[in-house]
Amino acid sequence: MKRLRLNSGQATLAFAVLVLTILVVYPLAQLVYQSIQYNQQWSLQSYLAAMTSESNLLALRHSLEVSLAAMLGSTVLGTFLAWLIARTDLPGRNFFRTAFVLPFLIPPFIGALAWLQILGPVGYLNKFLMTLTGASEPFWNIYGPAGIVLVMMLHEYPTVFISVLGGLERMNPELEEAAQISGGRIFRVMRDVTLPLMMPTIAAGALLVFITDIANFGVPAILGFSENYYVLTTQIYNVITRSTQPNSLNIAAAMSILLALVSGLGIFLQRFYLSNKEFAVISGKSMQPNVVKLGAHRYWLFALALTLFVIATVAPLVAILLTALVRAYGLPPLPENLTLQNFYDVLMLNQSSRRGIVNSLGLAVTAATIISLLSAFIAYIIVKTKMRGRALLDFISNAPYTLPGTVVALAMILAWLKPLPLIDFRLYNTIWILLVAYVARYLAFGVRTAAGSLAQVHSSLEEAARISGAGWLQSFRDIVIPLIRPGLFAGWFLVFIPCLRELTISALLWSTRNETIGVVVFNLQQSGNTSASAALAVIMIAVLLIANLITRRLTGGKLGY
Amino acid sequence: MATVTLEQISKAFGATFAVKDFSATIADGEFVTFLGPSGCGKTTCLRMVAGFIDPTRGRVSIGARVVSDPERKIAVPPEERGVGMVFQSYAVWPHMTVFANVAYPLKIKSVSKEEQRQRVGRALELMKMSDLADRFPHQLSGGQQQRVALARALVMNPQVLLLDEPLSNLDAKLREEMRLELKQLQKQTGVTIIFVTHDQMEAMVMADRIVVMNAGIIQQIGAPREIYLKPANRFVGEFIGVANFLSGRRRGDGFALAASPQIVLPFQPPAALTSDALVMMVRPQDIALHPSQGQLAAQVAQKMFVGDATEYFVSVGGETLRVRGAPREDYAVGATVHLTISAGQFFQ
Ligand SMILES: Nc1ncnc2c1ncn2[C@@H]1O[C@H](COP(=O)(O)OP(=O)(O)O)[C@@H](O)[C@H]1O
Ligand SMILES: [Mg+2]
Repeated sequence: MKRLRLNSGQATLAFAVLVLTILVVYPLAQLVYQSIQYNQQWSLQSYLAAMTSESNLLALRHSLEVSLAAMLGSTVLGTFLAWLIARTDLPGRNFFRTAFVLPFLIPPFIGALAWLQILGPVGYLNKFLMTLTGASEPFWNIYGPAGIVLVMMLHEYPTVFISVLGGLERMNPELEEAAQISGGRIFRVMRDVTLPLMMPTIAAGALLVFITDIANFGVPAILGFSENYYVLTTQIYNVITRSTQPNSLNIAAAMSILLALVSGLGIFLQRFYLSNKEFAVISGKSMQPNVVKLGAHRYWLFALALTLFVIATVAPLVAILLTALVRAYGLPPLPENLTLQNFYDVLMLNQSSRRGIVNSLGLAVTAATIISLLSAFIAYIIVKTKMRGRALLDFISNAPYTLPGTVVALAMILAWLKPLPLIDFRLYNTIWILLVAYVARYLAFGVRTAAGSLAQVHSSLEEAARISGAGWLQSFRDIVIPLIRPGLFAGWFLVFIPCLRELTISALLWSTRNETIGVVVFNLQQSGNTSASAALAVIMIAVLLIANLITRRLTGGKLGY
Repeated sequence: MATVTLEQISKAFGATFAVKDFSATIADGEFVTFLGPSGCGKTTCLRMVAGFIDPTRGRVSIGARVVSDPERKIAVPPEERGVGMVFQSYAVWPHMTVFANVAYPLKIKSVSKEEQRQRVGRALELMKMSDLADRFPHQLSGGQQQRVALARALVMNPQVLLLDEPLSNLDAKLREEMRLELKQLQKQTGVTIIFVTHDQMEAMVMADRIVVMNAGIIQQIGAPREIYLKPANRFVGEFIGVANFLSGRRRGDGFALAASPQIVLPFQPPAALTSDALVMMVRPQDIALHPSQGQLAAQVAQKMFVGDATEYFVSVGGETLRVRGAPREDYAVGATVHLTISAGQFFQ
């Protein structure tokens, strides 16, 4: 009896290790291996080629420039808005608290599409200003680095906003009051006490933005390709999809590892700041913090906040909706030009967009379900057992989400390019490679939520089942799983939503008949069919909004926006 | 230094009053304690003096200057009130050294570097913290952080020093030490101190005068001795020290217990108390124990040896009294003892 129980526990561990090896370890090992191969021989030639190519170096520089600029913008904007909400008597604070987080709901590449429609050469705002002033040149061309930075900034500032807002609200208000009673006026107190104390939080948020931006593919793809402006992710994409040179995949692997290293440096610094507990400024009790009375300034600051909300959230949504509703892109959005034809096209006529919708929904449902089941096992080993190597399991299951998506996608290509032994089946060029990649990519979300709920299940509950005669697997099935079901459910949606909006990985792994919704939006846009692309984007956002609402409902507002 | 005058100040949060019609004058150089149970409005009161909370109505003056008066739309901000404050969490800034923490109020006033060094040096010396000037707060113990907070509050020579339960986070021994030091500090600097606490012992030991509060309303203002010996009402008597309460009514020139009217104590309630049913408060130390002689006989229900005394719970005609016996006296549980009450006070 005893031996049998032990074996089922070990079998679980073996199963988890096997799954993670196939999903994560093997592909990443392939990536590293291929990066040190050249002409089928061991060599560092790929790295040399990657680092001496002028266009690669330029792409690296662009990546750093764009990500740093966007990081700076997001940080200033996010910090300022958090301060406005947490420390002033701005009217409508509760509304803005939610409103400022909404850009998270729009996938960044959709944001890029929207801004193209607002500030592209024939964008709404440009056209409007040209008619107004009679100018013959567009007012501003969003293509290129400035536009990329703008879109990234508007999309990522909520990261800083959320963490700084949380930090300010948890900060012990007596620290600020002590400075005030020392004779400091409110702005002096902010400068001398509040800002320095928030610095670790701000820095950690800023680095998170940097990591996200340097890994971003959609925005520089949409706003950079036509200008021949490449960053690392789009450069790697180009090498993989367009290069005909020998060894191009090896060079791409070397470039991916460089990208992973830059992003890894950011992650390392971010963890460093987060663990910097020197400034333990959190107070036990929550008190009314010091509030700056804005006085007459409240009017223009309210207007500013409202404007920012409109720019970051309302304008892109309205632009994309208008484009989807207008007969032909470029026509003014007047009543006589409005139509539902574009929606009819993408839902009924266009086979690839129909397939994209079906594929994405199928992939998201399947990946979310597989992850929910897998993560119950993995999280159990991490949280509830003392097995050796469980920290490694945690690390490995986190890796695919921490790494840039482009890196993960290339690892998948390299791992599954060759037919599988024995069954002679090639995952590459099928929908299955997308499924494998999605499961690997978002496994961390499932494991994290499952681990969170498991930590709440007291081990005595399980022990009671064992005492009653249940084997390990039996008690896992009858006691543990039912108790963490809400967490698994939440994890399901947490995976479902990002799968649906995915572009970076899909863009490299899709094949004809195996498109995803993001890929179809992207392809329609690239082929110049802006109206159809916008219509499909609207459908995508609608599905995302509904999924987000369901998530909020199911988790009582703890997850979702 | 300055007097602090609070005239009829009230603070409402929504419909409920945290402080109501609070009037008190704190003399120049006086050490006054606001005492009361948790949630009675002490902090709210102190923060109205500091300027962090604006009173709903009433007037606050520091020295000759009115700093809060909603009727005249006066609300001087905290940074202009010239008061020092020590917070319950100490609020020592973790990103500054001890020196920088203490120097901050001077830096704001643009005091010269040289003078900053001198004055910070003096303040740290006063708090016996001179050799820790270059440390960061996370390298200090709780007691040391508190001294930094005190030095920081004193360095600007405030007219008034406000302290909100500053000792409640310290361990018992350190607390005792700091009590004495605070008293001494006040003598040395002559600063007016308002000290908030819910600990009646602390208030008794330190204060020149105590303001006892309950549910936002002042119950009594007086010297510790007066408050202890002549509590204004039952709440004060109960809150300060240990007290027994005996219900009863006037009977001739004595006081008959309600539970056993045949027992009449030889104390005459003052004529000013007109109501029929009265309460007599008796402190344990005003009750003497004797094996055979006394005003009334009682049964020992429970006893606790506490070292310098034995505490007994005895029953007399349906009431339970707490009394103290000398350590060498010993009465068994169930034994009959005779009590002699030497003093008491009547309330309606
Ligand atoms: N900002 C506030 N909003 C609402 N109620 C408050 C606020 N601050 C204090 N109170 C209430 O006022 C009462 C007095 O609080 P406080 O002055 O902190 O008491 P103490 O310091 O004596 O423990 C309490 O009932 C408390 O809940
Ligand atoms: Mg208090």
